[in-house]
Amino acid sequence: MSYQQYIRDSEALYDQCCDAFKSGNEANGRRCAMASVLFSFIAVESFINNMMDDFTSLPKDLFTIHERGLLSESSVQFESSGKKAGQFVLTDRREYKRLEDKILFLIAKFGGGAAVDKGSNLWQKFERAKQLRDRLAHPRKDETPTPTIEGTQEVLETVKEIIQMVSVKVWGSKVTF
Amino acid sequence: MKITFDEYATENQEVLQAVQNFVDSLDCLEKKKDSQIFIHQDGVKKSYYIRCCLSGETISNRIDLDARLDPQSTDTFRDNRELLLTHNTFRRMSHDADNEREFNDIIAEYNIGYSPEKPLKIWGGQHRSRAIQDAYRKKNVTRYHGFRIYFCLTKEQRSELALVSNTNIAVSNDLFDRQLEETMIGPHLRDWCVEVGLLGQNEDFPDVGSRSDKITTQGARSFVVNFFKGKDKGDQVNPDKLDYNIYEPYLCKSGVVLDEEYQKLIDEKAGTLWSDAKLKEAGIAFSSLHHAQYEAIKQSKHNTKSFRMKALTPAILSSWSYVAGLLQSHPARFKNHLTVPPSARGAPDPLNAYEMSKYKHDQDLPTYRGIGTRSDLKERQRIAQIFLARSLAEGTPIDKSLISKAVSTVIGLKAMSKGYVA
Repeated sequence: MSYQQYIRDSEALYDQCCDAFKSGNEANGRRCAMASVLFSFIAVESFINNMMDDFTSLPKDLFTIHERGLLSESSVQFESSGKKAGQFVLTDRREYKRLEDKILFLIAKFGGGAAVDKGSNLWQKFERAKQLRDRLAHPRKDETPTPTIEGTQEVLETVKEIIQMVSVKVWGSKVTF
Repeated sequence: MKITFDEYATENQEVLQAVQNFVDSLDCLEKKKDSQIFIHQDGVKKSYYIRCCLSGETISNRIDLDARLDPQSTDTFRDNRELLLTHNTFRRMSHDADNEREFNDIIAEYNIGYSPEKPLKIWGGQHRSRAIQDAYRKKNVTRYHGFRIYFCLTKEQRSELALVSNTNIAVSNDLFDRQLEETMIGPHLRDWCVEVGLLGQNEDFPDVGSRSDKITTQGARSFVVNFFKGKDKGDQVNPDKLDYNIYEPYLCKSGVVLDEEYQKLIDEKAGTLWSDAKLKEAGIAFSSLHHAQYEAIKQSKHNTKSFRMKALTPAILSSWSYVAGLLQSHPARFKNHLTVPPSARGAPDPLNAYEMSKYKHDQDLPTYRGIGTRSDLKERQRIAQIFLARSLAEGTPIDKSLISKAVSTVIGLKAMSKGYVA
């Protein structure tokens, strides 16, 4: 499924959440809001991961071993014995990277030299959205986050803005949702 | 009756004599009423013509609808488009002619150099002429119709006249291409296509490519141009860095002006182009791919024209040929490229048209309809990368993974070329 489809799903869930809250069906509203937030993040994860995959298709010697490790989300280890003793090598072991780090890497490497401005309004919104997603995806018994209509909308819009920002920086063009 | 040049026309005795011969041999209204005939001269191409009225009876057996751009050639290939006798517009025209409609501005050339029994070679208004002919033959209907009749045309003037006359009606660029090819280059491209198997014996390029199962003039030109463009590029690229570049296959322009890259190639390689052994080898291999694709799809459940003709789509044809040229100094990869790809698992055809049609990258617009359906540069770059990647190993099928990796490579390389920070 493409990131556009996840965005469309998130939008549909957001609409349902609005309708449910308006009609007083809070349980359904909460369900749809949570799902919309999660789908928004699936969209941005899908977009960023696919973009990383584009670079893993390139000839290997275009990147350092650590860059390749980040791009392919594989661990890099230092070999202390054997033919490659004293060298870093890429292993088959999965090592998932944080979404923020992948975005920072893509912008720094392919965005024409400018790093992400972490003080910017967009990045602040993104961090708030990420916190909400993390609390939804990793719930605790003494903490029950309930996204509001406004909060759900902000996550959806922020995710779209982040996708657009990365697309413009790396590809030089906007995407269509 | 009096025949005179108008004040803008340069007097020319040969033309005057030809007009006189025309008047002597064909009965026009001006002759019957003993009125004036003016000889005009076109300002652009300097061709001479007269305007006159001819009756349905007079023209019924004196017009030639198979006019030739090159009267010296004995070829019987048609320069005009096929008559669409079952088309509703023609039926209406025919009905009107039967009911004494008078038509005007039919474009003809007076030429007795071939088929002298039919001296009026029709360049514009074939359908009207045929309707007039039919009305007289079937219903004895005869009225006066307006003609523009050209005299003593050079090959270039004739070619331009054919093109200009045909812009009055909905004519495809494929017909323009075919006419220009025949006039300005000759039959070489057609002969070459027959030799490599892209056209059958006595076949010609189609006048409307979208309705045909044959290679178009534009397609054949693009194939030839791309082979040499790829070869030139291959000579410039470090052999070790062949897979580090985005390649730009070219699509020859179609229409009233001969494509400049094709013209340049013809000028540069005069005398050697059509006998180039490597080009021929590539042409034969590509023809095999096209026929394998065509037959495989014909026998499959996805028997659609777009899948059958996948190899001949502009983006695939130009990219395949470009890569064939590019791999000239890489014999092993060239050999891999020339072989018809084995079908990927579950796919009936070598090009895996179904998988191509499903492919979509995150960068693509929602309206994108898969690999090979468009012919823009982006599409040609992607397909060139698919063929280049396939050439790396013998017997590689075109599957989802190969397509995806190749497109990712193009997009990744583009992003890197934009500004990679080491």
